[in-house]
Order: sequence, then structure tokens, then C-alpha cells
Amino acid sequence: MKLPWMKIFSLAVCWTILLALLRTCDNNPWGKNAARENTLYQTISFEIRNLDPLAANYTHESAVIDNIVEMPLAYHYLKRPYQLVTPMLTELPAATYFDAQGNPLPGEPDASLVARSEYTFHLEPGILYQPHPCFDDTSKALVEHPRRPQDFGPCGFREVTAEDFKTSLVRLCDIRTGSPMFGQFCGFLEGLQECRKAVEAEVARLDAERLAAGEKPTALTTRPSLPDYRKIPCDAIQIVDRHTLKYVLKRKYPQFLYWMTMHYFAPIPFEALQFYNRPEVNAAELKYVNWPVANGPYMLDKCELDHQIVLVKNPNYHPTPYPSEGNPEDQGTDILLDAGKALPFIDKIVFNWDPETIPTWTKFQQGYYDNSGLPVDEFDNAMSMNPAGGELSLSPEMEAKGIQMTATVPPISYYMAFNMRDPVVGGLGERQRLLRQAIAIALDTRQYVTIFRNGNGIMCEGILPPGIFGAAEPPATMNTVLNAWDGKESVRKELSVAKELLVQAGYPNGIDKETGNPLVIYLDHAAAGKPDFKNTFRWMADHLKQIGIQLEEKGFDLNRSRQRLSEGNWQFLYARGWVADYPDPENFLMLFASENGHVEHHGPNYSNYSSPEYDEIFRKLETMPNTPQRKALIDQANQILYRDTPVVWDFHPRNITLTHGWLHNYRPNTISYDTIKYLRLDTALREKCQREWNRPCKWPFLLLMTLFTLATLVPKRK
Amino acid sequence: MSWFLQNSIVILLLALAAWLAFAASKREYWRLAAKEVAAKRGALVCGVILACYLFVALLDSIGWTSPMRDDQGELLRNNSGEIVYDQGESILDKLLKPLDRRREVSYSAPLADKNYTAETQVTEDGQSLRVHNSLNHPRGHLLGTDRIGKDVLWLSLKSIRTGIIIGLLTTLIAIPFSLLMGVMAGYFGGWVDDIIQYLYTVVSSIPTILFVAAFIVIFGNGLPQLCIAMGLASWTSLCRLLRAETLRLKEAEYVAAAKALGTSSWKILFRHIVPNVLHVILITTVLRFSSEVLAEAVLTYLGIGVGADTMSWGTMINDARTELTRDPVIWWKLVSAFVFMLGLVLPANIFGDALRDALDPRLRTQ
Repeated sequence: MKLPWMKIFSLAVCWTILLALLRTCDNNPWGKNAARENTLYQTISFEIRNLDPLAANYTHESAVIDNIVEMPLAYHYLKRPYQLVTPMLTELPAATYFDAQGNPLPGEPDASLVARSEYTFHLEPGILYQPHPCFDDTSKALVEHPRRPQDFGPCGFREVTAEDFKTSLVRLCDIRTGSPMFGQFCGFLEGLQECRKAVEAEVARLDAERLAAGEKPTALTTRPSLPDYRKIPCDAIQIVDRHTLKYVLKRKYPQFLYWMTMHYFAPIPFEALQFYNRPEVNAAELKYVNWPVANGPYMLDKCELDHQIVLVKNPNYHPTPYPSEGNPEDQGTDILLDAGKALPFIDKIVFNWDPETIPTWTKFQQGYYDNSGLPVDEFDNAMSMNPAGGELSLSPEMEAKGIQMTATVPPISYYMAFNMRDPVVGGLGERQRLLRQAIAIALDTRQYVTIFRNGNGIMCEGILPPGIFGAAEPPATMNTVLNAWDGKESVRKELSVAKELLVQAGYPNGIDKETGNPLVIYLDHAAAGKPDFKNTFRWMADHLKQIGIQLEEKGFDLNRSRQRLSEGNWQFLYARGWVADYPDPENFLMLFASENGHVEHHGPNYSNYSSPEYDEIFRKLETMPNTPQRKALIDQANQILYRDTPVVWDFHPRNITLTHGWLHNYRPNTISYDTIKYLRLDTALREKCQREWNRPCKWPFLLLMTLFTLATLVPKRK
Repeated sequence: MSWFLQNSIVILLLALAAWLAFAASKREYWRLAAKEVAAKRGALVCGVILACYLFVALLDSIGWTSPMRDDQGELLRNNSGEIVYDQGESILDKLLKPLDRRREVSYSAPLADKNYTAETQVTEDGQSLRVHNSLNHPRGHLLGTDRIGKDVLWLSLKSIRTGIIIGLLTTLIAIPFSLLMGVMAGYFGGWVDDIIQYLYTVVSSIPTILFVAAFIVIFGNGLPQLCIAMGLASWTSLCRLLRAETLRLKEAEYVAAAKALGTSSWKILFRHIVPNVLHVILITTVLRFSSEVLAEAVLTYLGIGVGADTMSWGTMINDARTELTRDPVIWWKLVSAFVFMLGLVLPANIFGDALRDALDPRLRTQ
């Protein structure tokens, strides 16, 4: 018998290809041995525009930058409520106050007396910047086409000095930096406007000089002139010596220290700006905004904003120990195991661009991302309600994987604003006030949270979220205008109350007594495409209909909607949220101060609420330390807001973060993002889990191939 | 849109349809076609189903406002002495009122007697339990309830009008364009043909979804806007068909004879060409109808569909995005939308096919 050699040869080739393919079968996005390395994998799901600490304004940008820069002040990693610590300073700066004549005021003077306050910062000596070619004057390109600052050499480094804080602040005043904070900082720092003018004049002088020297006008835009920020006068900051500086404020403003934890005040070495302004570096398209130079625990290794950002450990990071005490309940738990050990623990952080939720969630479940927020759509897959306690807990499958859940209520408040300039719902008149209260009672937030957010939120009493000083504590302090205590928790009042209020307001059954016409309220929104908007709208309309009020929608695109807001040309505004900048009640209560009115002052007081009574109390409590007196004033302010109901108090969302079992020391921080340095990875466990959870399923291919082989080899029947 | 305007449009359209049917019944050609369609049992059944849908849509399109009464049952008058009217209801709204009144808090499965979501309840000895509360109307929801506790059957029935309006109105907007341009291009040829061909090539090269999205962004969300946008984006294919058909008819002997007798071009167009391409329009209308209904679902899914207070199958499907990931799965809304859409689109297609078989002269001679 003659063997079909040709056939056998072809089959052998097919088998080889298949086996080779199956051998390399792997879904690991990071490459083969990535799990073994001490690298943390994170997602970026929103576009990062730049990494300039003075200009970046979004939380997802801060999530990267806060690991690169270190600030003079920071929040304690473990302790709650939030507490300030001083990573770069010898002591916590204290304020000294002066009156209009320049005489010092002792103690805690009244804010109206203070004409000037000063904060002196004593820097710890010996804090170094990351190694960078900018610190060596002889550095030059090491490769033909440099693409990263690392392609220049040799590298040098130097100490962080007081002057670098001035460089930073003057650069913030430079209009070309585009810092979104300038306007806000002008409100409390001395002489920023003058400084901005001085910078402008200096830039103009340099530009003129360069043009006179024969440079083309286009060169001024491709390589902008760099003024020496160190030499430009700025009244807001004084350098006392190499390690001492003073910030000068034009009023009493204790919240200033919270601002000093944010990267807008990060020290910037002037050498770095000079380096990126060198012609050869500028020609390589390297910019400070993409490659900041700083003193934080990590430094940039790779910066492809639309693909991946990689940070590596800064070898010069000054010795910082893991905190050795936390909240009382932390004593003896695993979170204090690393107490006193030098930070950071993780060698490398990879921020991977992954804008879609489902791939991100899948990669988390496969173990390729180390932590994940919980996508709303996946909520019921991952969560189960504990049948006994009614507490949220992980589903059994998730628990079996060793995933841990952390639920936190971040300082965020959602609300739906009334336009206080509107003749129907706005104003401080009794009629409008009662109407607003009736509407707010009819919109039962508790039911809303149950139906639309899977119960993941807390009904607001007022604007202050739990955890912020002065927040309402039902039943002692609660919104008795809208809510009632049912013995266990605060609930919205009955609809009959809302109906009664409408009668008092002169809208019996929703009919305007004055004109006799039915009352129609218009809801402004820019959410037409949002999932669940239609349901939310119908839910709201249904609830208002029960008390006789008609609700109609007015949908606009985002730009048009913003324009209407700034014109004050609307009635009732769909969900708006406020995220705290710092853990102080002032940051929330200022949302209703008339000086922040949106129409008149472009401030964040979107409801344009303006009450002299409230303003007076707000001015008093604004700059006070957290004392019982302040608490009393906040209670008063809250009562006024409850009574006037300028917005429908909605809810404080509850955030859920999931972390894998190999990620240790995780403690959610909803205010700052400099927390990766505290995390520790168990890489051996990660490698084991990743292998177990991602076993390729090979048998269908082998089965198919075997059948194919048999089919080919069996001789055909004649 | 006020009820008066809407009622007038509906009555106008009804009258137009009646007149067309009457005119057609006088002609041998259409009578034969009707007989042929009626002879097919499948087509007839589909026709009846379509008629039912149309009837429901009609009931939901005619409505009126009623004067409001106060607690004593007296007519409400405003301060200028005018009677105050409510927002008005369609006939369907009035018929379905008992169904609409059956409200729950949130989801419940078809014919269930307990809520889908459990609520925490504290017992007397202080233990908290997760309890599925009884519904307000146990076993009262044939197709279950949605997120805000509305009956899904009610939602689906209310969506019929949206579906039909989008299907019909879009085609009605597209027909005049395509008819006029198609026959003109075919009959006159030359530079007229060149211009029209250029126009429809350009229009058809714009992606429909992009065009509709841009239109909605400019003119706002809403059913009329959506219909106009989709109509303007979709006249080209019919136009092309009509042009080809006219090119063929132009060579016919009776057209040549009319020409020889010195009849003007426009007269020939409307006397001889247009009546002979009507069957193409009818067939395309019925067949395209289904694709427009499906397009609404896609557009609403993308957030550029109808407004928030209009029910539609697209909205129901859009909601299913989150509902399908829940455990246990909330399937009833998607299934209802699917069944109701299938009930409209499938008969429309079968009926359209039968109509084409009956009307297309080439198929008939064979």
C-alpha cells in the first residue's frame, strides 16, 4: 500500500502551527513575567491633557501628578477625620495676623479686624529633587533623536529650596501657564494681579529683545520666552532664607493650609523650566507640562498621554516612614503591619489608558488591574445584599477570589437647584419658599436612591456630607422642614404635607390661585443622552403630578445649558454635584453665599441664592477654627438653608472600590491622591492568581484538529 | 403640539388615505392586486395585524383636553373667567387608565406578586431582614413593571404610536422629494438628471446616523424633529428607483404617442409616468417602514431619539442595557419591546412582499 505522504506532511504542518499557537495562548496585556515584578497597574479612563501641577485640574490628572510631586502639607494616610501632616516641614505652620495698621493681632482675632495674615513654612533641609538632566549644565542629548528627558545626560539633582516655591507661584501668575486656580487664589493671596502684570511686562521685554536680536516672530511661539520667575516681585510670598518662606494673605483664611496640600503650590526648580526652554530640548518637543520635574516618591519614566504613563521610584525621595498609628480601631490590624518602614513599597506604577468600563472591569476580574471602582452596570454581579444584616457585601464568587470591598462616602453632595431669580420658584417670599418646600418633599430622595442607585447613597439633610465638621446628625440635627424621624432613620415627609404646603402657598392642587392656571415647572438639563435620564424624568414628573404640579423638560446641549445658567434663564435644574476641595464646611456652605452668585459673579452658587441673613452667619463662620461656637453657627446656617430650600437636597453617593487580595494597606482617600506610596503588593500571590484565573481552554481546538486529521486519513470508500 | 393641530393632521391623513383607497378601487389594476393579496392567507393575516397596530396608533393620536374641576366638582375658571383645561389625553390614554393607575414602586416580574427588589425591614426583636414586599396589584401586571413601577404592557402599547409615526411620517416626508426628483431626472435627462444625480449621491454619502445626530443637536430632541431628519436623510434610495423606472417608462409607446400629439412634458409626467410608478412607492413605503421603526430603536439607544416624555421601544431597549446585567436578569422589558416590534415589523415585511408580488407588472406576467 502506498502511503499518502503529501497528506501526512500537510497534516504535520497544520499540527505544528496549531500547537505553536496554543503554546503562546495568553491574554496577559502586560507581557509574560509582569506579575512577578513589583509594579502596580492602574487605569486612566478619562483623557489626561497635561501633567503640569499648576494647570491640571481634574481628579484623574491629580491621580497621576500627586505621585510625582510632594507637597509641604498632606493628609494623614490612616486617620479620619482628615488630619494635616507635614512631610516636608519641620512643624505645622501657624498663622500670624495683622490689622490694617500692620500691628500684630494675638490669638484668634475676628476676621473683620484682620487685614493681613502670614504663614511661615520651615522646610526640612536635605529634601532632594529627582535626578534630571536639567540640574547639570553640561547635559546634552545622548541619542540622535531624543524623545524623553532621560535621553539627555548626565543627570544631576539638588535640594528643594524656598525659592522654588516662589518660582512656582510666579509661574502660576503667568497667564501662559493657564492655571484655572489663579482667580480663586487672587481672593486670598496678596498681590497676584500685580504679579501677573509684572510677568506680562517681563515677557514683552524679552520678546522685544529677541526680535531685536534678529529672531523670527514665529520663534516666539515655538519657543516662548522664559522670564526669570525668581526675580519677578510677588507680594504673596517672601523668602526668608534657603529653607524658610512666608505666604502673605490679604485676609484671615485658615483654609489656606488645605490648599497647600494641593499640587498647585508644588515647588518647581527653575532649572527645569530653563532646560525645557533650551533650543535642542524644545526642538525635541519635550515640554514641562508633559515631563514635570519634582520631588515626589515617583518620577516619570514614560509619558504617552493617550496610551500609557509609567512612573518609577524616585531614588532621591527623602526617607518617609509608613505611619505607625491610625484610628483607634486600626490598632493591631494588618494596616499597621508596615509601620515605620520606608516608603514607597512599589517600584513602578503603570497607568494604562482604558476608557471603556467593560474591558477595565474584565481585566480587573482577570487580575490584570490591581484595583477597580465598581461600574454601576456591574453592581448586581459583584454585590449581594447580606440577607441577615441588610449590609452590602461582595457576591460569593468575588469573595472566593479574595477580592476586598471598601465602601466610602466621599464628601460629595448632589442637589437640584431652583433658580432664585425666577419669579415663580425663586426669591425669599413666603409663597415661593413654601412652593419650593412642597416640591422638595414630593421628590422623595430616599426612594430615588433605592430605585436608581441600588440604595448606594445617603439622603442629604442639607449640603454638608457626613464626615465634614458640622454635618447634620439625625435625629438631633436634621432637616425638619423636609424630613421626619421615623424612629430609625430620617425619611421624607408624607405627600399630604407637600399638598398642605401648596395650599398655604396659594397653589391648591397645583392651581395658581392668582391666575387660576395650573402650575408648570420647567426642568433644565443637558442629560438627554444619559442612560436613565428618561426614567428619572418620568419618576420626577410622576411624583410632582401627585401634588398637582406639571413638570416639563427643557433639554439642551452642554454649551447652551451653560449659557442659560450664566444668564440665569432657567427655573429648575437637573442634578448637580459638588465635590469637596478640602474637608472644611466652608467649602460647601460657600455654595450659597451671595458673593459666589453664578449670574452676577460667575461663582459656584448656581441657585443664585442671596440672603443677607445667611451671608452674615457665613461670614462669621467662614474663617473660624472647628470649635463648638462654629458648630452652633453652622447649625444656624443649615437651619436657614433648610427653611429657604434654595435647592432640593439630594444625596451623598457611596463609592465602592474593589481591591485584590494581593494589594495591601489600601485605605480610601477621597480628598487627595498621593496614596500609592503607601500600598504594598504581594507579587507571588498575584502571579499565582493570574495564572489560575486565566487558564486557556485548549481542548476544543485539539478536538477539532483530531477530527479533521481522522477525516483526512480515513480512506474514501470507492 | 396642540391636540387641535394633531387631530387635524390625523383627520387629514385619514381623509387622504380614504380618498386614495376609493380612487384605487375604481381601477381594474388595483382591484386585481387587492384580490391577489387577499387570496394569500399569510398576507391577509399580516394585513389585519398591521391594521390593528394602525388602529391603536390612531386611538393614541386623537385626543382632547378636558376642563379641570375643583374638589367640589365645579368647573375651574381662571381670574379672567376662562375655563382651565388639563394637558389632555388621547382616546387610548382614557382606555388604558385602569392599567396606568396600577403603579408599583419599582421592578416586578410578569404576573409576580412580590417586588423584584428587596427592602430592609427591622423586625420587632431588632433584627433587620431583607424582604420582598407584596405588590400593590399582585398578579396584575401581564408583562411586569419597569424601573419606576409603570406597567410594561402600558409602556409597550403607548410605544406603538411612536413606532408607527416614525415609520409613516418619515416615509411621507421622503416621498415628495423622491417622487419629484426621481421622475424629473428620469424623464428630462441631460443637465437636470446630472444635477439630481449629483445631489442624491452627495446626500447618500452622508452617514444617516451622523446626519440625524447633527440635526437633533441643532433642532432639539423630539418626535417631529426625528421624523424630519430621518426623512431628509432617506429619500435618495427611492429617488434612484423612481429614476430607473421612469427611464424605462419614457420609452413606452403611449408616452411616445402623447409626445407625438404635442402634450406638454409636465402633463405627460403627471398623467402617464407618475401613476405608473405609484406601485414602486407603495412597495418601498411598506418595506422601508420596518427599517425606520428599527432605526428609531438604534437612535434612541445612542441618545438622539425621542424626548423624555415619549414612550418608545428604543427607550425600552436602551434601558435593558443595565437591566440585563442584573441578577436575576430583568428580561421582561426587552422581551416586550422585542415582541411588540416584531409584531409590527414582520407583518409589514410579509405584507410588503405580497404587495410587491401583486403590483409589480414584471412579476405578474410570469
